[in-house]
Amino acid sequence: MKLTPRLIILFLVLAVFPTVSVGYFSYENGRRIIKQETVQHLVSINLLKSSDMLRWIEGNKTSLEELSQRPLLKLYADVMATHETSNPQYNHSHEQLISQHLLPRLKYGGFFELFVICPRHGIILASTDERQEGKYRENQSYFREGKYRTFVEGIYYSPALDQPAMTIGTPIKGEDGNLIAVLAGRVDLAELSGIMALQSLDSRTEDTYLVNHFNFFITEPRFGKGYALKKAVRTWGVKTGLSGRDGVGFYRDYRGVPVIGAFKWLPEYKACLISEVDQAEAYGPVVRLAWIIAGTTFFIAMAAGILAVLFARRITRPVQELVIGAEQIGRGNLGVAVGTDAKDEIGELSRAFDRMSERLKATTVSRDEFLRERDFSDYVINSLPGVFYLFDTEGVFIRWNKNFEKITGYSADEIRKIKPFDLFEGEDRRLVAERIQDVFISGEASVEALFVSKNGSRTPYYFTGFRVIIEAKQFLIGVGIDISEKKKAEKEILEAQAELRRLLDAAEQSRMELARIVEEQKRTEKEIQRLNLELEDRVRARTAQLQAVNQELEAFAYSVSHDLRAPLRALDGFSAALYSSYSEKLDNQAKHYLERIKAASHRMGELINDLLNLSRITRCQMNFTEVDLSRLATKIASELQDGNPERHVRFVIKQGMTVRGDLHLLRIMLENLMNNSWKFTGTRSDATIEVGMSVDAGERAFFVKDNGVGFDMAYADKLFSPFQRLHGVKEFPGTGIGLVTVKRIVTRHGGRIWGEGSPDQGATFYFTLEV
Amino acid sequence: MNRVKMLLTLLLASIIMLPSCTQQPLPVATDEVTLQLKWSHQAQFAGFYMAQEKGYYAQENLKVKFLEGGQDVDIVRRVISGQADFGVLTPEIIIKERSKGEPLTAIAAIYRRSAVVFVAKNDSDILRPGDFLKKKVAAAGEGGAEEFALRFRAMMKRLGLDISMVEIVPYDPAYTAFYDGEVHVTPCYVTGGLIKMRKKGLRLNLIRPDDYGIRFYSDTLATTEKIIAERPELITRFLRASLKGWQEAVEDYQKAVEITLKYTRTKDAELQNAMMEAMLPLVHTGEDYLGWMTPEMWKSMVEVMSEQGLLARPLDSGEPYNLRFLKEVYRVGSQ
Repeated sequence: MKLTPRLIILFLVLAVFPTVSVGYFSYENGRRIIKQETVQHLVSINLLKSSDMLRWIEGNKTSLEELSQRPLLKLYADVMATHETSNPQYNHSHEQLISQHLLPRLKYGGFFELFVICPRHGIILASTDERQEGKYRENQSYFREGKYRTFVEGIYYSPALDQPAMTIGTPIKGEDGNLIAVLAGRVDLAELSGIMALQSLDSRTEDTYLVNHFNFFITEPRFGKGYALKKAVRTWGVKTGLSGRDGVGFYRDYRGVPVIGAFKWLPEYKACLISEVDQAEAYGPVVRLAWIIAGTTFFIAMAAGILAVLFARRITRPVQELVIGAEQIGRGNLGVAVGTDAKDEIGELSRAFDRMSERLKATTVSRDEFLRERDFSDYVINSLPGVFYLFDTEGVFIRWNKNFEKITGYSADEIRKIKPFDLFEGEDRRLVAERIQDVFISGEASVEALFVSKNGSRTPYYFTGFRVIIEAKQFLIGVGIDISEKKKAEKEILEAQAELRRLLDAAEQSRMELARIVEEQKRTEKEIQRLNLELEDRVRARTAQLQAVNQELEAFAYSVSHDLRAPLRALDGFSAALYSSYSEKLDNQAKHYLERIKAASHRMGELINDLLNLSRITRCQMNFTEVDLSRLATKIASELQDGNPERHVRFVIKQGMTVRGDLHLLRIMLENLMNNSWKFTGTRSDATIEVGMSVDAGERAFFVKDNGVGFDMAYADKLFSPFQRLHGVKEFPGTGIGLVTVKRIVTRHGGRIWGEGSPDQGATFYFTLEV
Repeated sequence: MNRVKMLLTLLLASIIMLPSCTQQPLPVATDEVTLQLKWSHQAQFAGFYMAQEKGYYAQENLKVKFLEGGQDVDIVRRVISGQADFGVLTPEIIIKERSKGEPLTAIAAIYRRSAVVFVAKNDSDILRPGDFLKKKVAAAGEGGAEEFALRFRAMMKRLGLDISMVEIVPYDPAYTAFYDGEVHVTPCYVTGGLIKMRKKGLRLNLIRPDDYGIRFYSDTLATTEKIIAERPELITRFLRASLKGWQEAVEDYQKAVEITLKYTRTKDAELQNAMMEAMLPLVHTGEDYLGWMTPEMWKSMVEVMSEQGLLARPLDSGEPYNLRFLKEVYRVGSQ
């Protein structure tokens, strides 16, 4: 392990161990003291509360005894115990006893009911609660024992009061010591609960309560309402307390919360007094102490850690520097100095080390200088972007860069053998030779020429040349830059300009053509608009005309049928009046005629009704919804059956037929069709009515089919005309409007209707609903 | 070394297990027991359900079957005939049957106070039995109402009131005439009719026969002399488990209601809860042990019955009950 972590661990152990041990011991000590204090506190609460309780009971006892000593009270009680209720003296005593003695005493508190019991039968003679008078208390201990001495009957549930009660009884005795009556008082238990609930400390959880030997609460605990004599409690503390022992313990209370509890057995009242406080609250200060200790330990540990790190650094840093320095020198870096001013052994070592590296450096420095210079010029030359060259007056290449080799395609050996002119052809060769001359004469020159490589490729280059004199000999030094990109760009610009001009010309031509076409289009549109407007005007005019005529017709039909009813009613009424008033004067023939008139006017009424319906159907507003035809048909079928329960007709209704349409109209339509089938199968014993659907060429046609009397197809065209009947009224009653109504409804739904049949073979009516 | 360790472990284990082995009762065959209830399943019998559901019967090696009572069920005959081993009966029936020579015996009083109460509307002046005179009281009837009639007559007699001065009409479980004000006083059970009336919003004066010296137990657990003679230990086991169930029902009555609802036909939690609250003070009176009976009470009950001429033959008041099993359950030495 390295020195630094070792030092840190050592420091931590030295610093933290004592802190933790001291903290632990002080925590344990604090806990023990608090535990002791809490226990002592709870025990003293129990002592205080039990003495408070006993004093309270004694007080009540004494107070009751004092009351029983009053001479007047004795006198009244004696009168009541020895006289009949009917005696006026009895009533006087009763009144005096209550108003002068019992009621005033109630006001002092402590009791909520005072009463006097007859010693012979145990009947309540007088009570501050009038309702209790006359009741028998002969079996109660406060009466039986109370005849001889003051007796406190522990806390019990009183059915008469419907609540927990505690009653004290005491004898009322005469001068000679003979028993006159028993005086009893019901103690106000709220006071006892008050004594228990009174908190001596500002505690959040301190709780004192009484539990009877049936494990039931007697007083209300702090964390429960309506527990008194309603709820049992079986905690360890209560169990131990009820076994007759006093003590303390650590356990879970009636809420299941860990508490410190003290319990005290009160043998006289067969009850246990419990005082408890939540462990969480009692141990609160100890927990806080534990936190403080933990915090302190943490900070000490942190401080020790930091100190350890700093200290370790002071020792290990010079050593580490020495190690790094030695490694550097080992790699050849002799410029490193590791010497320090430290007076210790490490300081001396470092200074000796420095002296050693100093001597080593002196022997190696000159050689390094030379190599460094040459490397530097090589870097410079090779980093040039173009070609670099240096040749003497004879044209022999002395130095060049890597680019030169790459672009010419010649190796280093080949370059030493060629001359600068060998890299050019024709006119360029002459030009270059001229410029080289210029350099050696005037000091500098430049030229653009095609550079020919070993494999024959040509590249335009811009060359520069400067005269340099090295060790009294003249040389030419220069660079060449590839200018082929520039040349190519110049050419492309010229070409692009020409192309642009050509395109502009073509665009102008297209624009002209387009403008002409748009002009043409506009003209055509205007013409169409004008024609459309004309057409609409004409259609609107025609529709208005048609609507007016239609409305007139419907209104006419409606008012005619409506107006027809008045005379009809007169006809019906008068014929009825005639029949009833002149019955004895009319012979049978006349009566028969009257019957006919009546029947005829009735029929006329039906006709008018149907006409009215028809005109309504034509005019009413349509309300389209999804309509389940099958359900509708089933409903109508059952209505028909209900109307004529004596008939047996078999209905076959296909399920799942739905259409879009007006429910009300479709119902009228289907009713009419099914009604017809019902009517025309009246003579059949095996009547069958079928409502179904057939699909023909993608069109759904619904049908109502029966096996009734049918009709001759020769009259098929008359079926849907008003008042056309193919059968006699007597045989099959009806107005001849039904199918007209049906057709009107089908037409309003945009559908068709047709019938098929033959005499005695039944009839089928098909209809489609296009909507 | 290892062997020594193993031996030690075995020794230790056997020491730990030894006492539990000896305490474990030898497996015995489960006894089947039938309990005849006084009425159909309701909170009135909560303690028995508790004993069943909490496994107290099973702990005593008992398999208990509950038989419901009802309008057409002769519950007394079922117990006497042995069809049921135990029955929940009223002390009146036990005393009456006993005087006829039937071998019925009470072994514990579950309801140690009577549930019978006479009620009058609180705007009437009727506060005590003396106020019944010249008023209409619904205290006549057969069957179930006989109990009411008995309490009424006994109470009036105890107070020396002339019963002929009261207009007695038949008891009506629907209380229609009472609601209408035609009948001034009606008896009812605090665990039944009273809850119904209070639910209707009626404010009532309660007149308890208990307050006038007529004190009766209500639900009493009874068996036959035959079983007492042949299987006394079975009775002790059954009683011990039943009382344990009742103790728990008293201490945690909300749980008892919850368990009761497993048995009742209609799951009216509110009604069963009200019934439970009304009956708790009758079961847990704060006197003696749960289920305990006193010779004084039996003497007083027999006397009242005798005064009313309800006994077939004079009966010794010690005859219709047996304290032996309560004493065994509570381990109280016989005096």
